[in-house]
Amino acid sequence: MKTGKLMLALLGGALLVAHAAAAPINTDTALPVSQGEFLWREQVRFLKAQDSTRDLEVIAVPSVLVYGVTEKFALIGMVPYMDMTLKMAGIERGAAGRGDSMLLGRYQVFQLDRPGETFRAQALGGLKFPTGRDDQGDAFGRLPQPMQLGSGSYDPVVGGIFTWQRLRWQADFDLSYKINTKANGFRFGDTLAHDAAFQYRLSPLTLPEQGVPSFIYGVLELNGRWAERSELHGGKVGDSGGYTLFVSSGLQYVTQRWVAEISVQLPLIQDLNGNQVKTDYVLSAGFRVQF
Amino acid sequence: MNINILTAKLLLTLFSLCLATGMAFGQSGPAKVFIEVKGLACPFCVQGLEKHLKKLDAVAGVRTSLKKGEAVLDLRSGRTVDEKELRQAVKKAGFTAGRIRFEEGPATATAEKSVKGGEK
Repeated sequence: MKTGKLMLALLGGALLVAHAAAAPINTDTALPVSQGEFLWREQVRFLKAQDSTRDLEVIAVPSVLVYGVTEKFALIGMVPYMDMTLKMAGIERGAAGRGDSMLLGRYQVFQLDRPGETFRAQALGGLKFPTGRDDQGDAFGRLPQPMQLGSGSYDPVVGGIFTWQRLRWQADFDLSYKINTKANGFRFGDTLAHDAAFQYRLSPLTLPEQGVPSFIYGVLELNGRWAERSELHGGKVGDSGGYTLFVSSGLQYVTQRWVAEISVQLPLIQDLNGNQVKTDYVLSAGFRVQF
Repeated sequence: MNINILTAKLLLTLFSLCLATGMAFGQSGPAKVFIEVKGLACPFCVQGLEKHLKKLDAVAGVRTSLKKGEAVLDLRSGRTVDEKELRQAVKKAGFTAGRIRFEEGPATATAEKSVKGGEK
């Protein structure tokens, strides 16, 4: 089985776990986590991709814990559970278990607060750790690297996040770049993620004079992922890398203590190198709670 | 010991105690504090704000109005809170305190204002 033909698993994996600390559903936010506060987020994400000969399913459950070290600096830890299955020519291959973890720091570099309105910018940096197994195999031998739960590599991430929030709506933008390093003779191509989200308060239509009502937001997002070609023993993998832009719509129920959300992502653009199976959709549901 | 001296000492002690606790003059502190909180625009942000404000010793309760962008603090009887502490608590929650207004509790007699900060 050609390694490159499985590259979507990588793209899918990145899509499934890259933005687990978001305030919109698939986009990061620059909103604060109060000093000394914890935020716990769980999501279930399901990716389906298929063509005439291949059928790929990825389930990811990223668990995220965010801690407000100060009002400006937050630490974000993320550990995903992954389950990947690829069916091709009557053969089924896959892996399930803990994936690679990520530790990120988020620092607020700009804050402008007005009554009922805030504009913030944050810098993001961190490292992906190889906590997922990268040596799994089955009856057909060792699984190709893109089908492994972990990459085996330590990969730095840098980025920036911008948020403009008002009582009626919120807009978020993020941009992040992951520099992938080599492990097991394989180097995944670097990845660039860019997201834009707009969420609008659907309920309540008008706010009461007193109190804090729960909100229902409608969420519309654009989530772009670019990946350069991967390298195997120094040579470029033809069937790897490319660009995908998803449009996402979702709903969020937001209370003071917790948030529940659902989202569906559909591909608008899939410009993938070589012969890669294309994504049909990504579904997600989750909650977050602060304490 | 002379009974008159003993009585006088007892009265003086009681008077001192009353004076110390502010009872003698019906001394009143601010019963409520109104804080304009800038940057507060969603329900999920309110929890951290209220948590930090409730940590202040003088604060008995907090009510927030998202529409007004305002937190109203109920203070414990006879307690006061420093404006600087309030601004720091709002800052720790990740927001910016604007105007802070102190509202005194009911007074039973004229007393020296113990309000720190006053209306800004």
